[in-house]
Amino acid sequence: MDFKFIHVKEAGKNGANIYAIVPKGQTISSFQAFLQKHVPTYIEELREINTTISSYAKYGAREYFFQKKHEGKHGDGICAIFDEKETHLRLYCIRHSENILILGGGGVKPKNIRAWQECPILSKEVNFLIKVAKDFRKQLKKGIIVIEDNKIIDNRK
Amino acid sequence: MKNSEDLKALLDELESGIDKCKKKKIEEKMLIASRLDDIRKSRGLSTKREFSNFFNKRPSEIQKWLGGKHNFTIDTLIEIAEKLSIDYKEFLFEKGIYTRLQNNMNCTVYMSIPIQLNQPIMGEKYSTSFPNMQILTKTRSIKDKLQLELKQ
Repeated sequence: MDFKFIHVKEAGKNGANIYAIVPKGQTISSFQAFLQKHVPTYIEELREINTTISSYAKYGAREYFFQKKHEGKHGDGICAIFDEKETHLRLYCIRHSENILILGGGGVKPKNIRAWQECPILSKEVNFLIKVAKDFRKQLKKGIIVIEDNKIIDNRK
Repeated sequence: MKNSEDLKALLDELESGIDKCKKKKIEEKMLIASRLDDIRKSRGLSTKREFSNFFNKRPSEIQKWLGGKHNFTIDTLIEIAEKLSIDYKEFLFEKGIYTRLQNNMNCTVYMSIPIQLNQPIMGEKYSTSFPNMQILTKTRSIKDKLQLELKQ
């Protein structure tokens, strides 16, 4: 599994550092691709989602801020971010801790489905994040990726 | 580096384009939920179940309170604060600030007062809602906000 993290938003005093993932072979993060794709149609929703992410940076990625805590497998920290009315868009992320949040990609959740597994686009994004979360945990265990002062230090070449 | 600059530009555009009132509503709801969560932790109520038992509420109600999207009424905030034996205004300030103000300790508060460039700010009149507190200094901070230092 090859990917790199980019730092997106700086943590406030008690907040979370926000990262995005750039998959191997891509020039932009999945998060940026998500934004660029949906700006023309859902800009207001994206503005709310961006404000919500900024609030995580300020107040922390608190457990209870994420209504659906386990979008992936239990314990992998995969959650969804959406606007207040849960209108159209779902942005998936890995909530590593209250102080580290890693943004993945996302898409439009069709009204006629209940779970991401029923939508090929959302499934692709979540399944990718599940693999990233697994690899991230493995690299942390090996000490190749470390967390210092609530920041990700990636020592992979 | 161009791609990270593109992302920054996109985020800046989203940030600047949002309706200010809508933005404030999102931020303040999350502030209140985070303060409630801080108090939950400081009282040793480590699970949602313990917290819901403390308030005699259903866990789903507590999830709503802590979820950062709940539109609290003043009545509800006062009821929660009374049960916790705190002032409900504690929910409206970041951790520690309200207590420091109450204790009349020096405290720096960042207020979202937009100021225009090249406009004098010293000598203008601002007041605080805290009794016995006076504005000690006024300085311009980043992003065109006014930084006030309050003192007894």
